[in-house]
Amino acid sequence: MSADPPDLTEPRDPALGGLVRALIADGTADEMAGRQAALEMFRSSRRPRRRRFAVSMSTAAAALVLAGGFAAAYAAALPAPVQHIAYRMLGSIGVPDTQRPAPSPGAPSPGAPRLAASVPPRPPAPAATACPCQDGRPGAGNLVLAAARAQIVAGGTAVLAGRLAPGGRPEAGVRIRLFEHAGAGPGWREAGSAMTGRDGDVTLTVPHLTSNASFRLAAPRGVLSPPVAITVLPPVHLGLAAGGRAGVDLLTARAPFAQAGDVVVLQERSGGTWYRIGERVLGQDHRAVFTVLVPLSGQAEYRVVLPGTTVHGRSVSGWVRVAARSAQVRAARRAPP
Amino acid sequence: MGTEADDFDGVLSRARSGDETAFLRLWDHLHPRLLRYLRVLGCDEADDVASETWLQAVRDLGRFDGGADEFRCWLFTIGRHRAIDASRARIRFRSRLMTAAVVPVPEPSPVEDEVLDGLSTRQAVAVVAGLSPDQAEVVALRIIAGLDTAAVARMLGKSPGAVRIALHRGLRALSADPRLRALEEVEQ
Repeated sequence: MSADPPDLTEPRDPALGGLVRALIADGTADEMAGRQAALEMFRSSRRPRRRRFAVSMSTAAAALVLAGGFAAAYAAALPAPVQHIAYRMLGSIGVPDTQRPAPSPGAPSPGAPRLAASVPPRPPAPAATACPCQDGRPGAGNLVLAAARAQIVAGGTAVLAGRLAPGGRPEAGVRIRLFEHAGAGPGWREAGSAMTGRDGDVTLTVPHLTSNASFRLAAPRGVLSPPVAITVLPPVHLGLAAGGRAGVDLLTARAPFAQAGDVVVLQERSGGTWYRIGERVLGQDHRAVFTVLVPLSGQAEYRVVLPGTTVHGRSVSGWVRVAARSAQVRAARRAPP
Repeated sequence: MGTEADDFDGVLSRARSGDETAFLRLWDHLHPRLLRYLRVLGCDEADDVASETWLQAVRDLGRFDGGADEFRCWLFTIGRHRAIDASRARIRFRSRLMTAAVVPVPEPSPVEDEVLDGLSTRQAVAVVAGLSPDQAEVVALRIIAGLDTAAVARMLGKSPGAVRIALHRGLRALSADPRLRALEEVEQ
Protein backbone atom coordinates (compact mmCIF):
# COMPACT_ATOMS: atom_id res chain seq x y z
CA MET A 1 0.00 0.00 0.00
CA SER A 2 1.48 3.32 -0.96
CA ALA A 3 0.09 6.78 -1.43
CA ASP A 4 3.33 8.69 -1.58
CA PRO A 5 3.50 11.80 -3.73
CA PRO A 6 5.29 10.60 -6.85
CA ASP A 7 7.70 13.49 -7.29
CA LEU A 8 10.01 12.66 -4.38
CA THR A 9 9.95 8.85 -4.29
CA GLU A 10 11.97 8.79 -7.51
CA PRO A 11 14.11 11.91 -7.40
CA ARG A 12 15.60 13.22 -10.61
CA ASP A 13 18.91 13.52 -8.82
CA PRO A 14 20.33 9.99 -8.79
CA ALA A 15 22.53 10.82 -5.83
CA LEU A 16 19.45 10.94 -3.64
CA GLY A 17 17.88 7.77 -4.98
CA GLY A 18 19.48 5.42 -2.50
CA LEU A 19 18.78 7.75 0.39
CA VAL A 20 15.11 8.05 -0.49
CA ARG A 21 14.76 4.29 -1.01
CA ALA A 22 16.22 3.70 2.43
CA LEU A 23 13.94 6.30 4.03
CA ILE A 24 10.74 4.81 2.61
CA ALA A 25 11.75 1.15 2.76
CA ASP A 26 9.41 -1.35 4.38
CA GLY A 27 9.59 -1.54 8.15
CA THR A 28 12.49 -3.41 9.67
CA ALA A 29 12.00 -6.12 12.25
CA ASP A 30 12.86 -3.65 14.99
CA GLU A 31 10.33 -1.14 13.74
CA MET A 32 7.61 -3.76 13.46
CA ALA A 33 8.22 -5.19 16.92
CA GLY A 34 5.15 -3.46 18.40
CA ARG A 35 2.70 -4.86 15.84
CA GLN A 36 0.96 -7.29 18.17
CA ALA A 37 0.69 -4.69 20.92
CA ALA A 38 -0.85 -2.27 18.43
CA LEU A 39 -3.40 -4.87 17.40
CA GLU A 40 -4.30 -5.54 21.05
CA MET A 41 -4.72 -1.81 21.56
CA PHE A 42 -7.00 -1.63 18.53
CA ARG A 43 -9.05 -4.58 19.78
CA SER A 44 -9.41 -3.17 23.27
CA SER A 45 -10.58 0.15 21.87
CA ARG A 46 -13.40 -1.69 20.09
CA ARG A 47 -14.60 -3.72 23.07
CA PRO A 48 -17.63 -2.59 25.05
CA ARG A 49 -16.45 -1.18 28.34
CA ARG A 50 -17.53 -2.90 31.54
CA ARG A 51 -14.67 -1.58 33.51
CA ARG A 52 -15.76 -2.03 37.10
CA PHE A 53 -16.79 -5.61 36.53
CA ALA A 54 -13.66 -6.35 34.58
CA VAL A 55 -11.44 -4.86 37.23
CA SER A 56 -13.14 -6.73 40.01
CA MET A 57 -13.00 -10.00 38.09
CA SER A 58 -9.36 -9.56 37.18
CA THR A 59 -8.51 -8.61 40.74
CA ALA A 60 -10.28 -11.68 42.07
CA ALA A 61 -8.59 -13.88 39.49
CA ALA A 62 -5.21 -12.43 40.33
CA ALA A 63 -5.85 -13.00 44.03
CA LEU A 64 -6.81 -16.61 43.37
CA VAL A 65 -3.80 -17.19 41.17
CA LEU A 66 -1.52 -15.56 43.70
CA ALA A 67 -2.94 -17.56 46.60
CA GLY A 68 -2.70 -20.82 44.72
CA GLY A 69 0.69 -19.87 43.33
CA PHE A 70 2.11 -19.11 46.76
CA ALA A 71 0.91 -22.44 48.09
CA ALA A 72 2.28 -24.32 45.11
CA ALA A 73 5.55 -22.42 45.26
CA TYR A 74 6.06 -23.20 48.95
CA ALA A 75 5.37 -26.83 48.19
CA ALA A 76 7.77 -26.70 45.26
CA ALA A 77 4.92 -28.13 43.20
CA LEU A 78 5.20 -25.75 40.27
CA PRO A 79 6.83 -26.69 36.97
CA ALA A 80 10.57 -26.20 37.30
CA PRO A 81 10.92 -22.95 35.31
CA VAL A 82 7.95 -21.42 37.10
CA GLN A 83 9.27 -22.61 40.45
CA HIS A 84 12.59 -20.94 39.66
CA ILE A 85 10.85 -17.66 38.91
CA ALA A 86 8.90 -17.97 42.15
CA TYR A 87 12.18 -18.60 43.97
CA ARG A 88 13.73 -15.48 42.47
CA MET A 89 10.73 -13.40 43.52
CA LEU A 90 9.96 -15.02 46.84
CA GLY A 91 13.11 -16.83 47.84
CA SER A 92 13.67 -14.45 50.73
CA ILE A 93 10.48 -15.71 52.39
CA GLY A 94 11.26 -19.35 52.00
CA VAL A 95 10.14 -20.45 48.55
CA PRO A 96 12.53 -23.17 47.40
CA ASP A 97 14.26 -23.35 44.01
CA THR A 98 14.05 -26.59 42.10
CA GLN A 99 16.59 -25.44 39.53
CA ARG A 100 19.35 -25.20 42.09
CA PRO A 101 21.79 -28.04 41.45
CA ALA A 102 20.66 -30.92 43.61
CA PRO A 103 21.88 -34.44 44.06
CA SER A 104 20.26 -36.77 41.60
CA PRO A 105 20.57 -40.44 40.97
CA GLY A 106 22.43 -39.74 37.79
CA ALA A 107 24.91 -37.19 39.03
CA PRO A 108 28.18 -38.19 40.61
CA SER A 109 28.01 -37.56 44.32
CA PRO A 110 30.65 -35.29 45.80
CA GLY A 111 33.56 -37.17 47.18
CA ALA A 112 32.54 -40.45 45.64
CA PRO A 113 35.33 -42.29 43.93
CA ARG A 114 34.97 -42.01 40.21
CA LEU A 115 36.94 -42.92 37.19
CA ALA A 116 37.65 -40.14 34.77
CA ALA A 117 38.55 -40.79 31.19
CA SER A 118 39.73 -38.27 28.68
CA VAL A 119 38.58 -38.76 25.17
CA PRO A 120 41.70 -38.58 23.02
CA PRO A 121 42.21 -35.67 20.65
CA ARG A 122 39.66 -35.74 17.90
CA PRO A 123 40.63 -37.81 14.91
CA PRO A 124 39.22 -37.02 11.51
CA ALA A 125 35.57 -38.01 11.70
CA PRO A 126 35.39 -41.75 11.23
CA ALA A 127 32.55 -43.56 9.59
CA ALA A 128 29.37 -42.96 11.53
CA THR A 129 26.91 -45.35 13.17
CA ALA A 130 29.08 -47.80 14.94
CA CYS A 131 26.65 -46.96 17.73
CA PRO A 132 24.09 -49.44 18.98
CA CYS A 133 21.81 -46.45 19.33
CA GLN A 134 19.15 -47.60 16.92
CA ASP A 135 18.55 -51.03 18.42
CA GLY A 136 19.53 -50.34 22.01
CA ARG A 137 17.18 -50.13 24.97
CA PRO A 138 16.82 -46.74 26.63
CA GLY A 139 18.05 -47.25 30.14
CA ALA A 140 14.99 -45.91 31.96
CA GLY A 141 17.29 -44.60 34.67
CA ASN A 142 19.75 -47.49 34.50
CA LEU A 143 22.30 -45.40 32.63
CA VAL A 144 22.21 -41.63 32.85
CA LEU A 145 24.40 -38.86 31.47
CA ALA A 146 24.74 -35.18 32.34
CA ALA A 147 26.92 -32.38 30.99
CA ALA A 148 28.76 -30.02 33.31
CA ARG A 149 27.81 -27.17 30.98
CA ALA A 150 25.13 -27.10 28.32
CA GLN A 151 27.07 -24.39 26.45
CA ILE A 152 30.82 -24.08 26.01
CA VAL A 153 33.08 -21.73 24.12
CA ALA A 154 34.24 -23.17 20.81
CA GLY A 155 37.49 -25.04 21.19
CA GLY A 156 36.76 -25.76 24.84
CA THR A 157 36.41 -29.06 26.63
CA ALA A 158 33.07 -30.71 27.34
CA VAL A 159 32.84 -32.56 30.64
CA LEU A 160 30.28 -35.35 30.84
CA ALA A 161 29.34 -37.42 33.86
CA GLY A 162 27.44 -40.68 33.75
CA ARG A 163 26.27 -43.37 36.12
CA LEU A 164 25.35 -47.01 35.58
CA ALA A 165 22.96 -48.30 38.22
CA PRO A 166 20.51 -50.89 36.90
CA GLY A 167 17.67 -51.33 39.31
CA GLY A 168 19.23 -48.67 41.52
CA ARG A 169 22.34 -50.75 42.15
CA PRO A 170 25.60 -49.18 40.92
CA GLU A 171 27.75 -51.40 38.75
CA ALA A 172 31.51 -50.96 38.97
CA GLY A 173 34.15 -52.06 36.51
CA VAL A 174 31.92 -51.92 33.45
CA ARG A 175 33.23 -50.41 30.22
CA ILE A 176 31.00 -47.54 29.10
CA ARG A 177 31.28 -46.17 25.60
CA LEU A 178 30.59 -42.51 24.70
CA PHE A 179 28.93 -41.75 21.38
CA GLU A 180 28.76 -38.36 19.72
CA HIS A 181 26.44 -36.96 17.08
CA ALA A 182 27.79 -33.71 15.62
CA GLY A 183 25.18 -31.01 14.95
CA ALA A 184 25.52 -31.18 11.19
CA GLY A 185 26.95 -34.68 10.99
CA PRO A 186 25.35 -37.77 9.52
CA GLY A 187 25.12 -40.03 12.56
CA TRP A 188 26.62 -41.30 15.79
CA ARG A 189 30.28 -42.12 16.15
CA GLU A 190 32.19 -43.52 19.10
CA ALA A 191 34.11 -40.76 20.85
CA GLY A 192 35.70 -42.63 23.76
CA SER A 193 35.18 -45.05 26.60
CA ALA A 194 35.84 -45.48 30.31
CA MET A 195 35.31 -47.97 33.13
CA THR A 196 32.77 -47.25 35.83
CA GLY A 197 34.06 -46.60 39.34
CA ARG A 198 32.87 -48.03 42.64
CA ASP A 199 29.58 -46.11 42.57
CA GLY A 200 28.94 -46.83 38.91
CA ASP A 201 30.19 -43.34 38.05
CA VAL A 202 32.14 -42.38 34.99
CA THR A 203 33.40 -38.97 33.87
CA LEU A 204 34.48 -38.27 30.32
CA THR A 205 35.98 -35.16 28.80
CA VAL A 206 35.80 -34.24 25.15
CA PRO A 207 38.50 -31.70 24.25
CA HIS A 208 38.44 -29.09 21.51
CA LEU A 209 34.74 -29.19 20.77
CA THR A 210 34.09 -26.85 17.84
CA SER A 211 30.52 -27.65 16.83
CA ASN A 212 27.22 -28.45 18.50
CA ALA A 213 26.96 -32.10 19.46
CA SER A 214 24.77 -34.61 21.25
CA PHE A 215 26.28 -37.31 23.44
CA ARG A 216 25.02 -40.54 24.92
CA LEU A 217 26.49 -43.46 26.75
CA ALA A 218 26.21 -47.12 25.88
CA ALA A 219 26.69 -49.98 28.33
CA PRO A 220 26.82 -53.70 27.53
CA ARG A 221 23.59 -55.51 26.73
CA GLY A 222 22.40 -52.52 24.68
CA VAL A 223 21.68 -50.22 27.61
CA LEU A 224 21.68 -46.57 26.48
CA SER A 225 21.48 -43.24 28.24
CA PRO A 226 19.23 -40.47 26.97
CA PRO A 227 21.17 -38.05 24.76
CA VAL A 228 22.60 -34.81 26.11
CA ALA A 229 23.09 -31.81 23.83
CA ILE A 230 25.95 -29.33 24.13
CA THR A 231 25.92 -26.02 22.27
CA VAL A 232 29.19 -24.50 21.13
CA LEU A 233 29.57 -20.71 21.13
CA PRO A 234 32.15 -19.40 18.65
CA PRO A 235 33.85 -16.18 19.85
CA VAL A 236 33.16 -13.25 17.55
CA HIS A 237 35.34 -10.14 17.52
CA LEU A 238 34.72 -6.68 16.09
CA GLY A 239 37.54 -4.32 15.09
CA LEU A 240 37.52 -0.72 13.89
CA ALA A 241 39.66 0.96 11.27
CA ALA A 242 39.48 4.25 9.42
CA GLY A 243 37.75 3.84 6.11
CA GLY A 244 40.28 5.71 4.02
CA ARG A 245 37.59 8.23 3.10
CA ALA A 246 36.30 11.19 5.00
CA GLY A 247 33.28 10.31 7.05
CA VAL A 248 33.31 6.52 6.97
CA ASP A 249 34.94 3.80 9.05
CA LEU A 250 35.34 0.09 8.54
CA LEU A 251 34.22 -2.47 11.10
CA THR A 252 35.71 -5.92 10.68
CA ALA A 253 33.92 -8.90 12.23
CA ARG A 254 36.03 -12.00 12.81
CA ALA A 255 34.77 -15.38 14.01
CA PRO A 256 37.53 -18.01 13.65
CA PHE A 257 35.36 -20.92 14.76
CA ALA A 258 32.35 -19.99 12.63
CA GLN A 259 32.02 -21.25 9.10
CA ALA A 260 32.61 -19.46 5.85
CA GLY A 261 29.17 -18.51 4.63
CA ASP A 262 27.77 -17.84 8.08
CA VAL A 263 25.95 -14.54 8.42
CA VAL A 264 26.97 -11.88 10.93
CA VAL A 265 24.60 -9.06 11.82
CA LEU A 266 25.81 -5.56 12.65
CA GLN A 267 23.81 -3.76 15.33
CA GLU A 268 23.88 -0.19 16.58
CA ARG A 269 22.86 0.84 20.08
CA SER A 270 20.34 3.61 20.43
CA GLY A 271 18.56 4.52 23.64
CA GLY A 272 19.73 1.34 25.33
CA THR A 273 18.39 -0.90 22.57
CA TRP A 274 20.40 -2.63 19.86
CA TYR A 275 19.08 -2.14 16.33
CA ARG A 276 19.98 -4.13 13.26
CA ILE A 277 21.99 -2.14 10.72
CA GLY A 278 22.95 -4.74 8.16
CA GLU A 279 24.41 -8.15 7.64
CA ARG A 280 27.35 -9.69 5.83
CA VAL A 281 28.50 -13.22 5.01
CA LEU A 282 31.75 -14.46 6.49
CA GLY A 283 34.38 -15.15 3.87
CA GLN A 284 36.87 -17.97 3.68
CA ASP A 285 39.05 -16.05 6.13
CA HIS A 286 36.12 -15.98 8.60
CA ARG A 287 35.91 -12.21 8.32
CA ALA A 288 33.30 -9.72 7.14
CA VAL A 289 33.66 -5.97 6.71
CA PHE A 290 30.98 -3.35 7.36
CA THR A 291 31.15 0.28 6.31
CA VAL A 292 29.59 2.75 8.75
CA LEU A 293 29.14 6.47 8.76
CA VAL A 294 31.12 8.44 11.32
CA PRO A 295 28.64 10.53 13.34
CA LEU A 296 28.91 14.26 12.89
CA SER A 297 28.76 14.66 16.64
CA GLY A 298 28.73 12.39 19.64
CA GLN A 299 29.40 8.71 19.15
CA ALA A 300 27.86 5.51 17.88
CA GLU A 301 28.25 2.05 19.37
CA TYR A 302 28.26 -1.10 17.30
CA ARG A 303 28.45 -4.83 17.87
CA VAL A 304 28.01 -7.93 15.74
CA VAL A 305 25.82 -10.93 16.40
CA LEU A 306 26.55 -14.36 14.98
CA PRO A 307 23.15 -16.10 14.86
CA GLY A 308 22.95 -19.69 15.94
CA THR A 309 22.97 -22.51 13.39
CA THR A 310 22.84 -26.28 13.57
CA VAL A 311 26.64 -26.16 13.91
CA HIS A 312 27.01 -23.53 16.63
CA GLY A 313 25.09 -21.36 19.04
CA ARG A 314 24.50 -17.60 18.98
CA SER A 315 27.40 -15.34 19.90
CA VAL A 316 27.71 -11.61 20.43
CA SER A 317 30.87 -9.53 20.15
CA GLY A 318 31.97 -6.81 22.49
CA TRP A 319 30.94 -3.36 21.37
CA VAL A 320 33.02 -0.83 19.54
CA ARG A 321 32.55 2.91 19.73
CA VAL A 322 32.86 5.13 16.67
CA ALA A 323 33.25 8.72 17.78
CA ALA A 324 32.95 11.96 15.87
CA ARG A 325 36.46 13.09 15.17
CA SER A 326 38.54 15.86 13.75
CA ALA A 327 41.70 14.03 12.83
CA GLN A 328 41.75 10.55 14.21
CA VAL A 329 39.61 7.57 14.99
CA ARG A 330 39.09 6.58 18.57
CA ALA A 331 37.76 3.22 19.46
CA ALA A 332 36.94 1.99 22.89
CA ARG A 333 36.46 -1.70 23.41
CA ARG A 334 34.28 -3.03 26.14
CA ALA A 335 33.33 -6.50 27.24
CA PRO A 336 30.07 -7.90 25.90
CA PRO A 337 27.09 -6.79 28.00
CA MET B 1 -9.91 1.78 -12.30
CA GLY B 2 -8.83 1.98 -8.71
CA THR B 3 -5.71 3.82 -7.70
CA GLU B 4 -3.38 3.37 -4.76
CA ALA B 5 -5.02 6.32 -3.09
CA ASP B 6 -8.42 4.66 -3.57
CA ASP B 7 -6.98 1.49 -2.03
CA PHE B 8 -5.68 3.47 0.92
CA ASP B 9 -9.08 5.11 1.32
CA GLY B 10 -10.78 1.71 1.31
CA VAL B 11 -8.42 0.31 3.91
CA LEU B 12 -8.93 3.38 6.05
CA SER B 13 -12.68 3.03 5.78
CA ARG B 14 -12.58 -0.61 6.84
CA ALA B 15 -10.27 0.19 9.73
CA ARG B 16 -12.72 2.80 10.95
CA SER B 17 -15.40 0.10 10.92
CA GLY B 18 -13.26 -2.06 13.20
CA ASP B 19 -11.60 -4.31 10.62
CA GLU B 20 -8.42 -5.56 12.30
CA THR B 21 -6.75 -6.60 9.05
CA ALA B 22 -7.29 -3.15 7.62
CA PHE B 23 -5.92 -1.53 10.75
CA LEU B 24 -2.80 -3.68 10.55
CA ARG B 25 -2.28 -2.64 6.94
CA LEU B 26 -2.42 0.98 8.00
CA TRP B 27 -0.06 0.31 10.89
CA ASP B 28 2.38 -1.71 8.77
CA HIS B 29 2.61 1.10 6.26
CA LEU B 30 2.67 4.12 8.51
CA HIS B 31 4.27 3.03 11.78
CA PRO B 32 7.82 2.61 10.45
CA ARG B 33 7.58 6.02 8.82
CA LEU B 34 6.22 7.58 11.97
CA LEU B 35 9.17 6.17 13.92
CA ARG B 36 11.65 7.52 11.36
CA TYR B 37 10.01 10.95 11.40
CA LEU B 38 10.20 11.06 15.20
CA ARG B 39 13.87 10.04 15.10
CA VAL B 40 14.64 12.78 12.59
CA LEU B 41 13.09 15.19 15.06
CA GLY B 42 15.53 13.95 17.67
CA CYS B 43 12.87 12.35 19.84
CA ASP B 44 14.72 10.15 22.33
CA GLU B 45 11.73 7.95 23.09
CA ALA B 46 10.46 7.49 19.55
CA ASP B 47 8.93 4.08 20.27
CA ASP B 48 6.99 5.36 23.27
CA VAL B 49 5.86 8.49 21.47
CA ALA B 50 4.76 6.46 18.44
CA SER B 51 2.73 4.17 20.69
CA GLU B 52 1.06 7.17 22.32
CA THR B 53 0.34 8.55 18.86
CA TRP B 54 -1.40 5.37 17.75
CA LEU B 55 -3.29 5.18 21.02
CA GLN B 56 -4.78 8.62 20.41
CA ALA B 57 -5.38 7.88 16.72
CA VAL B 58 -7.22 4.64 17.48
CA ARG B 59 -9.25 6.29 20.21
CA ASP B 60 -10.35 9.11 17.90
CA LEU B 61 -10.56 7.10 14.68
CA GLY B 62 -14.34 7.00 14.80
CA ARG B 63 -14.46 10.79 14.78
CA PHE B 64 -11.90 11.18 12.01
CA ASP B 65 -13.43 12.34 8.75
CA GLY B 66 -11.25 12.38 5.67
CA GLY B 67 -9.32 10.37 3.15
CA ALA B 68 -5.87 8.90 2.91
CA ASP B 69 -3.94 12.15 2.68
CA GLU B 70 -5.84 13.70 5.54
CA PHE B 71 -5.24 10.61 7.67
CA ARG B 72 -1.50 10.77 7.07
CA CYS B 73 -1.41 14.42 7.96
CA TRP B 74 -3.59 13.81 11.03
CA LEU B 75 -1.44 10.94 12.28
CA PHE B 76 1.84 12.78 11.87
CA THR B 77 0.39 15.90 13.44
CA ILE B 78 -0.55 13.85 16.48
CA GLY B 79 2.95 12.41 16.50
CA ARG B 80 4.50 15.86 16.34
CA HIS B 81 2.37 17.08 19.24
CA ARG B 82 3.18 13.99 21.31
CA ALA B 83 6.88 14.53 20.60
CA ILE B 84 6.65 18.13 21.76
CA ASP B 85 4.84 16.97 24.90
CA ALA B 86 7.58 14.43 25.53
CA SER B 87 10.25 17.07 25.09
CA ARG B 88 8.58 19.35 27.58
CA ALA B 89 8.25 16.53 30.04
CA ARG B 90 11.75 15.19 29.72
CA ILE B 91 13.72 18.17 28.49
CA ARG B 92 15.66 15.98 26.15
CA PHE B 93 14.27 17.19 22.89
CA ARG B 94 17.07 18.82 21.02
CA SER B 95 15.25 21.96 19.97
CA ARG B 96 14.69 20.65 16.50
CA LEU B 97 11.18 21.97 16.10
CA MET B 98 12.07 25.46 15.02
CA THR B 99 10.67 27.84 12.49
CA ALA B 100 12.49 27.83 9.20
CA ALA B 101 14.36 30.89 8.11
CA VAL B 102 12.94 31.89 4.75
CA VAL B 103 15.92 32.58 2.52
CA PRO B 104 15.59 32.36 -1.25
CA VAL B 105 18.04 29.90 -2.72
CA PRO B 106 18.78 28.83 -6.25
CA GLU B 107 17.66 25.47 -7.58
CA PRO B 108 19.79 22.54 -6.43
CA SER B 109 22.78 22.05 -8.67
CA PRO B 110 23.33 18.71 -10.36
CA VAL B 111 25.57 16.33 -8.47
CA GLU B 112 27.51 13.33 -9.60
CA ASP B 113 25.65 10.14 -10.39
CA GLU B 114 25.70 8.09 -7.23
CA VAL B 115 23.90 4.93 -6.18
CA LEU B 116 23.43 4.36 -2.51
CA ASP B 117 22.01 0.86 -2.37
CA GLY B 118 24.12 0.02 0.66
CA LEU B 119 22.60 2.68 2.87
CA SER B 120 20.52 1.29 5.71
CA THR B 121 17.33 2.94 6.86
CA ARG B 122 18.81 3.91 10.20
CA GLN B 123 21.84 5.44 8.56
CA ALA B 124 19.60 7.32 6.15
CA VAL B 125 17.50 8.65 9.03
CA ALA B 126 20.69 9.73 10.81
CA VAL B 127 21.86 11.56 7.72
CA VAL B 128 18.57 13.47 7.42
CA ALA B 129 18.63 14.22 11.15
CA GLY B 130 21.99 15.90 10.58
CA LEU B 131 20.38 18.65 8.52
CA SER B 132 19.32 21.91 10.10
CA PRO B 133 16.16 21.37 12.16
CA ASP B 134 13.79 23.10 9.74
CA GLN B 135 15.20 21.34 6.69
CA ALA B 136 15.24 17.97 8.44
CA GLU B 137 11.60 18.18 9.42
CA VAL B 138 10.44 19.29 5.99
CA VAL B 139 12.45 16.57 4.27
CA ALA B 140 11.07 14.00 6.71
CA LEU B 141 7.47 15.07 6.24
CA ARG B 142 7.74 15.23 2.46
CA ILE B 143 9.72 12.02 1.89
CA ILE B 144 9.18 9.78 4.92
CA ALA B 145 5.61 10.79 5.80
CA GLY B 146 4.69 11.26 2.15
CA LEU B 147 2.82 14.51 2.70
CA ASP B 148 2.46 17.06 -0.07
CA THR B 149 3.75 20.60 0.19
CA ALA B 150 0.42 22.11 1.12
CA ALA B 151 -0.12 19.62 3.93
CA VAL B 152 3.37 20.20 5.32
CA ALA B 153 2.83 23.95 5.17
CA ARG B 154 -0.44 23.67 7.11
CA MET B 155 1.11 21.33 9.63
CA LEU B 156 4.10 23.56 10.29
CA GLY B 157 2.29 26.85 9.99
CA LYS B 158 4.42 28.01 7.07
CA SER B 159 3.79 29.13 3.56
CA PRO B 160 4.09 26.56 0.77
CA GLY B 161 6.95 28.61 -0.64
CA ALA B 162 8.88 28.39 2.60
CA VAL B 163 8.37 24.63 2.64
CA ARG B 164 9.66 24.29 -0.92
CA ILE B 165 12.72 26.35 -0.11
CA ALA B 166 13.51 24.36 3.00
CA LEU B 167 13.08 21.15 1.01
CA HIS B 168 15.40 22.30 -1.77
CA ARG B 169 18.02 23.42 0.69
CA GLY B 170 17.77 20.13 2.53
CA LEU B 171 18.03 18.01 -0.60
CA ARG B 172 20.95 20.01 -1.83
CA ALA B 173 22.74 19.55 1.47
CA LEU B 174 22.06 15.83 1.33
CA SER B 175 23.42 15.61 -2.20
CA ALA B 176 26.62 17.26 -1.05
CA ASP B 177 27.01 15.19 2.12
CA PRO B 178 30.61 13.90 1.93
CA ARG B 179 29.72 10.81 3.98
CA LEU B 180 27.30 9.60 1.34
CA ARG B 181 29.91 10.07 -1.36
CA ALA B 182 32.55 8.33 0.71
CA LEU B 183 30.20 5.47 1.51
CA GLU B 184 29.51 4.96 -2.15
CA GLU B 185 33.20 5.03 -3.05
CA VAL B 186 34.06 2.50 -0.38
CA GLU B 187 31.28 0.11 -1.32
CA GLN B 188 32.03 0.20 -5.03
